[in-house]
Amino acid sequence: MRRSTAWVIFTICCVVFGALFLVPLGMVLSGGFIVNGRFTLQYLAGVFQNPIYAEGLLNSLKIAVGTTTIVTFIAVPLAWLSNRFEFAGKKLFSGLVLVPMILPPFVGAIGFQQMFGQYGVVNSLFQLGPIDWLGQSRYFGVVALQALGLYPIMYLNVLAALANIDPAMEEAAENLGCHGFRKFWRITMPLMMPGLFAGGTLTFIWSFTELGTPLIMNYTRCAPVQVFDALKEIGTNPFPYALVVVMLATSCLLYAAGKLVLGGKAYAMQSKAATTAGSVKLTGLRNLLVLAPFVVVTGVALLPHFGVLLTSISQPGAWYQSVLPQEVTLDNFREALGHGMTVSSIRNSLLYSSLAVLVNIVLGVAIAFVVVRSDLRVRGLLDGLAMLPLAVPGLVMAFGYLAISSYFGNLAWVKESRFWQSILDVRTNPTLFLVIAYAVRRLPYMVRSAVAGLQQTSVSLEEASANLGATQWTTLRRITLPLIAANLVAGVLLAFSFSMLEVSDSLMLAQRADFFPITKTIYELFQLIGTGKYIAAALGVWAMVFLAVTIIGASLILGKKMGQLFRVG
Amino acid sequence: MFRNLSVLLVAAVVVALPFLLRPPAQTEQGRAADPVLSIISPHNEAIRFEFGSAFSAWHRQHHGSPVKIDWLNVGGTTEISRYLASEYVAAMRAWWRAQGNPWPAGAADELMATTPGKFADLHAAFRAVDDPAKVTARIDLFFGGGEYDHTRAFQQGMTVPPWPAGQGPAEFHYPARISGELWRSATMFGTTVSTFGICYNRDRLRDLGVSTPPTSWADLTDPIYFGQVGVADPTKSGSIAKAFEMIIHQQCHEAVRAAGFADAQVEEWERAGKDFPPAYEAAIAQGWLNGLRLVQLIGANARYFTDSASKVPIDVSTGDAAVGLAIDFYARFQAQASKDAAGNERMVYVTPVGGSSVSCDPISLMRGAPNREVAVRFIEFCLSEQGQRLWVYRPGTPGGPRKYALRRLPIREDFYQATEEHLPFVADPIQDPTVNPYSLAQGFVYRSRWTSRLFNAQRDLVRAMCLDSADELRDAWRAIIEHGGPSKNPGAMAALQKMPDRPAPLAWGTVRDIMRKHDRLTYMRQWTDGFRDNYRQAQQLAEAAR
Repeated sequence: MRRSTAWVIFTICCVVFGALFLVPLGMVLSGGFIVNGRFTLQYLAGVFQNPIYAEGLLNSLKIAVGTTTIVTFIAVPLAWLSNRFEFAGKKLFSGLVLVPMILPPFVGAIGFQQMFGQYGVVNSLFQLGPIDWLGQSRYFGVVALQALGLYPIMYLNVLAALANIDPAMEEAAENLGCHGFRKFWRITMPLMMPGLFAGGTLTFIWSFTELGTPLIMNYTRCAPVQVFDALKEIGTNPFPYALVVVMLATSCLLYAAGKLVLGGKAYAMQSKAATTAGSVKLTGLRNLLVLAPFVVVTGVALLPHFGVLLTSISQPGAWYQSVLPQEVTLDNFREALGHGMTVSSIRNSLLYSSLAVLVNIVLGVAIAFVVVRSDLRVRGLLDGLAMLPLAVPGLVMAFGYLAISSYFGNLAWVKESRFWQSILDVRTNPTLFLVIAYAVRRLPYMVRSAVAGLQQTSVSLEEASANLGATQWTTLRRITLPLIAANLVAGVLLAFSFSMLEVSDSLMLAQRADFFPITKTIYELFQLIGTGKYIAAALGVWAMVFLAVTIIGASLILGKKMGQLFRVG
Repeated sequence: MFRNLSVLLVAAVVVALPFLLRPPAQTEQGRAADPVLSIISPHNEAIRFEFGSAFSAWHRQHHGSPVKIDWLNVGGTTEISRYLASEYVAAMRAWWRAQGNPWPAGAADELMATTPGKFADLHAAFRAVDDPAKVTARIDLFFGGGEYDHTRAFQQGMTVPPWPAGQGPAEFHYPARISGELWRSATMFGTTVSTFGICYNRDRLRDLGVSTPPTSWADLTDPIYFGQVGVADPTKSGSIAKAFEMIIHQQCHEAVRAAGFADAQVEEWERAGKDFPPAYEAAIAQGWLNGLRLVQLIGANARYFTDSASKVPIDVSTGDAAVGLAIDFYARFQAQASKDAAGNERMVYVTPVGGSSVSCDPISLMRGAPNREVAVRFIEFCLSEQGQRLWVYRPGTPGGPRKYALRRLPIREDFYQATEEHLPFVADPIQDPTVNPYSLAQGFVYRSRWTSRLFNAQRDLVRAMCLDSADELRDAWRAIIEHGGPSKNPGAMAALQKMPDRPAPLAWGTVRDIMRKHDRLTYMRQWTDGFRDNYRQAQQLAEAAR
């Protein structure tokens, strides 16, 4: 990439990212440093002076390390098995293995409780008595639950990386006498390192900043819960913003350290894998042996989803001290899907998420190009910046976007124009801000996927295209994007699914029922006293089914193409 | 091909289902010229639906046109407070600058401060303007939340009186204050009331071996409930903080009575407001400490402190917590929704008589309300008998809600004086003294000097004592329970219940001084450190006593 082109893309990316992310973030976080018009570091110092916050950061770090370790041990073998073998059930489980990441908000916690609660399914099924799974072993509970929800991220990235490996490399290794685990460790592992790094960093930073699971497990002494508690505290308190800054800085440091240790070891290949020559077809017992880990992992990871599903068909109060609901009904679905807010919220969610993914593709690929294909000294800065949205609590970003919308909403030219109000004022129409919020918060998935793809693709292929007279645009369209398609599909699936399930921004920015996305409608139904959780679970099941059909359907419709992308065909 | 078509068909069915099940529009279809009322509210969909449709019908009947309610929903009261502040700051900044005035650094903080500071002119100018053409959040009403949030919104200048002084309704039919709770002020008007009590799961109690269900706050300190008490978080809700204040207040009453002071004598001293006998002050101080220690032991038994008002009763109804501190209507509703097949309630709710305040859910008019006239009518509707019925009547009854039972208690006293008229239609037994808020409030005499000045201190103390030190508190309490319980571990209990010495010895008489002399970061850190040290010492003492 020419330096001038790199500088142009770098500048545009920085300006866009700055306007969409850093400005709203800065507006909110400045509250931790500018108090009553005066700059102060008092609150930042407070984070380090009070030992419970240092312990909170340390505990979050432990959670991230534990989760990433388990995720690696779950996802890498599964991805490797999926890449290397052809076996009955592979197509189904290649789709199902991704479903754990689409647990809908609010009712997801109910699903956990129905399964692992004192009168839940596990205790009832094995007649264990009221064992308090959720009240004890809080750290291990958090790590296990997070790992079961996050391994699809690692799985997708590693699978894409394995699919990109040229089989000739491993064949060459075997010809030279390198077999078995040694071959995996010396050849496969370094070649798939970009995918492993992408999945690892996403998992690590996600679990470092994850709020929902520690709240479910009542594990309160960790940084995200401490930020949440301080943000929700009545009255004004500058402290949580200082704590967010420390969390952000810690995430950056951890990311930089990870990159230093792992991220630098990327080996591009002259050619990408174009055949499935490495796949071994399995039958009989060997088929079962390979299928078994998929069944076990998916089965355990989907327990909360079953909890939500069974809650959705249960009569209120009829699933208690029993393995299954004692009385079932479809009324919850009738009430949820027939509710006045539901149809518009589905339409809205599809619109917001699709637009956000489009923004993600453009911005993500552009950032990845600068990071991987340029020699700018500052490219690492852009790489690090693009990861920041993972580390910022959703509530903080939502407050930032609201402040910006309030600012625009009070400008004379906006007040006088219905058109500008519908663009810039969340009260009139929050579409722009919701799309921005979704896109920014999901950008890291696309950037990491695209970076991993580009790292595995030799630049000489693009140079050859240029030598043959193709323009940069033609090279991008005809050479580069097809070569990194698997990685982009992985990024799109993650970004779209997580956008459909986005909570914090949706709750605050979508203020009127006409603009509610599906997550806010789930929240609204959940608030109905008595029957709320059953009705919300029904809508949550709809969302899960929709996303599952999207993911599995995409894999089936793309057929061989998808198979080639991920080696699942 | 067939596979692709099947996938598309499944996807089409999934997407089409909600469209097929969509009901015809249930709300009254209005015209473009009909008035629009913008209401910000944490109330749930059921309340919004019932009040929206009933008011629109009422307005059409009395004023000739239906009203479209533009409900704004930005989350809970914390989010609403921040959102409103952000909207008013942006509006005021635009208007202030348009007048040619500078907007200095710190102006936003000053605007929302409850007292004027160095930009007193700005502070006063904001509170003097009530014109939607100048400064407005484009919202007419703030409906729901707690008295704390509405009073604070008023102190921040965001709400205004609906009626000029002396021109409001002749009769509100309910008192402005009751049992220490503010129900009505010049800008804020309670529309419904609720109490705070205990809910418990009968099966879990039986499993735990509890023979007598809990009926008082002190019952929740029993070690048998270790890890089984669901608690609403007083640091995140003014209403819950008020409920905790009442727990402490009740202990003050008991200590004063135990010290031999008669109610009449206490009444006389408090009315005079000076020359309090040292022994009387010492009794209050002891009661206050007892109250804190009671809260501390409830915290030691706590499974969690949650900001979600509905979580505790849901968890208790499913057996995921054995007992919980919950708001009455959530608990009653949940108890009914979780009955077994034979119709028996698995969960029971009790209000500790004399131990709970009765708080209100108010409504306030916003500064610069775009549709002030209709907004005031909405307030009048909420306070009318017709509006009051919506809270407690069963769906489909004459004057009742159309679709949802709201199961909240009306605020008007005359509603409870005419119970025969309402009994055939109400969802809850309003004549029952354990339900009737006026009966419950009578059991509680509130002395504001005892605890109301310490409202913020008590909130911070609960945070330092039970939330920020939760792990150490739980470990110490577990060690005490495992080594014979409180009675066998007096040394450990003394360490556990010791109050911090820094930044100054903590007591009823010193806490306000501590808060005045030290910034919040400092005293919170030192309190947390102090409690953690005490808890660790208690754990060591209990474990050493084996």
